[in-house]
Amino acid sequence: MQSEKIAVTGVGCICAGCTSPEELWEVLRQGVRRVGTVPAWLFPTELDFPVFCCNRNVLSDRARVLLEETPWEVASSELNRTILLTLSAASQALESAGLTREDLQEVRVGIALGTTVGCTFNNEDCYYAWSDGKEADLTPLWQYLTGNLSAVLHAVLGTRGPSVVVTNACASGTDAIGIARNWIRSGRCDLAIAGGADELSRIAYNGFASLQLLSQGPCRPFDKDRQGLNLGEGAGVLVLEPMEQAQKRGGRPVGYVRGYGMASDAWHPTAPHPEGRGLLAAIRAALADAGLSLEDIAYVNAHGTGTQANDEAESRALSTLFGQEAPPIVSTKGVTGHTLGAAGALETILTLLALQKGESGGTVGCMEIDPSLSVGPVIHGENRELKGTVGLNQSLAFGGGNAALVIEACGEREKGLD
Amino acid sequence: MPAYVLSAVSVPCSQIRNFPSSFLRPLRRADDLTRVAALSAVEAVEQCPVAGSELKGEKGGVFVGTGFGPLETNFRFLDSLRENGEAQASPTLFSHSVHNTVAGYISRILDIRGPGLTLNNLTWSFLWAMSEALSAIESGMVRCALVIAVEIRSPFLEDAYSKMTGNPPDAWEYGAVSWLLGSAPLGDEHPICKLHGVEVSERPFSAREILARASERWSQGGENLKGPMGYAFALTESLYLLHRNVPDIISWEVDAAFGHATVDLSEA
Repeated sequence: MQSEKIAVTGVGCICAGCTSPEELWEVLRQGVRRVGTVPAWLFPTELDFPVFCCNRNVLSDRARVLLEETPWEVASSELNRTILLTLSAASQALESAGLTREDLQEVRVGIALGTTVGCTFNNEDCYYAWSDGKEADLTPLWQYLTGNLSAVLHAVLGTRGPSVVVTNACASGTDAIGIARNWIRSGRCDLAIAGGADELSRIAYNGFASLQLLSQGPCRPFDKDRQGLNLGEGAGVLVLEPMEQAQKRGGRPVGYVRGYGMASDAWHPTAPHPEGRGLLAAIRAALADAGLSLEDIAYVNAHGTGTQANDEAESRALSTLFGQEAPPIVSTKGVTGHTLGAAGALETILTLLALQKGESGGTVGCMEIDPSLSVGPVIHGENRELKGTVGLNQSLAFGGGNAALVIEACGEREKGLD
Repeated sequence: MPAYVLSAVSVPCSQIRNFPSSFLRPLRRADDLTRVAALSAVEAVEQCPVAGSELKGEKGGVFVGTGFGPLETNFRFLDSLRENGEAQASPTLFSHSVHNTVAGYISRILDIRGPGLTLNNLTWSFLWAMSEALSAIESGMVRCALVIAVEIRSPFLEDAYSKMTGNPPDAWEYGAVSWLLGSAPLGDEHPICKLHGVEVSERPFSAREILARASERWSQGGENLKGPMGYAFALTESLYLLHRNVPDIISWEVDAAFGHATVDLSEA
């Protein structure tokens, strides 16, 4: 087991209105909400719940080059949108880490990615045709069978090493980063590419609508008038390496994954435990793993979906932990939407950015904190100075899953992430 | 540090109705995928009751590996969406169409409050899950872990297989496998064996290679494995053969066009 810190040496992301971490930070600081109705080119719907949608073309130029140069024979038209989002974020993360495909051939590369929509066969035309006894075009099924996110990224990069897709619902991205970090600590790989991705899907959109969890307007996490969540899409990817190895090759750590914890509520299929029981256990486990205490936490990136149940449970858990001495708490879903499997990864990146810049940013959409909540976030338009470089990113999921990461930014705050 | 394999259970889908009545209520809305997985988990714990109390609380974990997961439940949700219209589809079906539903249910019925991890991989997701469970035990994150593989029959997939190969997949076996791992030998029963390591190495694969699995070969006997759960059933069966006539160390291997995997076991 390696005792040294596991460094974040590269970061990449894509989500509504943002194609880099710095753009994402600026969107958060300015409180810009790229939210609107579902575009007609994405999928047909008569519902008008707003979503955070990326541009139609999500394959970046650098990801296109990566695909053109891959030893694996594949065309971008054969890859689903979740994979294209992943490739865009991953290629950016590798570039920011100063790593080429050739560099990756020399080491064991672990790939851990979280997704929900990305591992589900959702093609309605194909399924309905088959179900009706018609001749179904099975092309979408063949693409699904070869569309495992981590396997595809390994194939595109030509790399070898551990490969998992985490499907822990909304905590998937957080768990994927924690798992990858543990792989490096235990020596199972030399370098890891970790994060999460998900595209907007008509099935998830209708599913969340059926659960009455979608907001009719832009989401308002922790606000007294919150109505629910907005779905979003995107990808966030980190490159992780042992600190010494990163420094030896000239890589520049931008932060560290210090601790990871996961725990189950053992409570309800979709609702969190009202006291945030599993979340508390996950946070405590992550702090113990990091060898740090609550006093070290200078910032909390909350799951903060904007649903009644989530925000209450999360608030109670944070109140139990910190009392009234909580560090700045922020939900960033007001600028990204709930990107499901990508959420934990995007929020880890936002945690790093906040800690690096020494400021919290505000909870976009939260104008007046629900007075019934035990503790509340930094509200919309507010910005607080952070009193440290260590923070917490936490995720809650359907099925009662909870995950927490303790993240540390490098001390020199002037360093950018891209 | 190895983990101890305290029990291991295979449950084919045909036994899904044998569920203990005490679990009928908490599983009344569960789909077949969850039910068969839960049945295997409960039976694995019944084989080593002391481990059941170790599993409870934050030092127990659930690690699930599944390839197709709740594919059929997702199709029922699509049916519901088409029949009832937008926003009128079944919320119960949607909430059960998420891959980690199985882990959620099992953590609830057995009160397991430690890690709950679901891994999705069409190659050998059970082995990836086992590898993560072993790491969790080695690192002290958990003292006891349930590792579960589960797949259920999908007429859609079987039909696609037939169209692809021209043959019916008549030998495919479905159901669930649960292994109970511990950091120490628990209870009066002798552990089945020790688990030292799991190594999986994958290669890029085609849709045909992964659906047909025609190239998949198991080192013990070289027989054909049957469908996406074949390797998990075969490995579990082999444990009991090992238990009766165990050499010092045995390396279980599986080869396929899509990769190679090894599980290292020894006498407890």
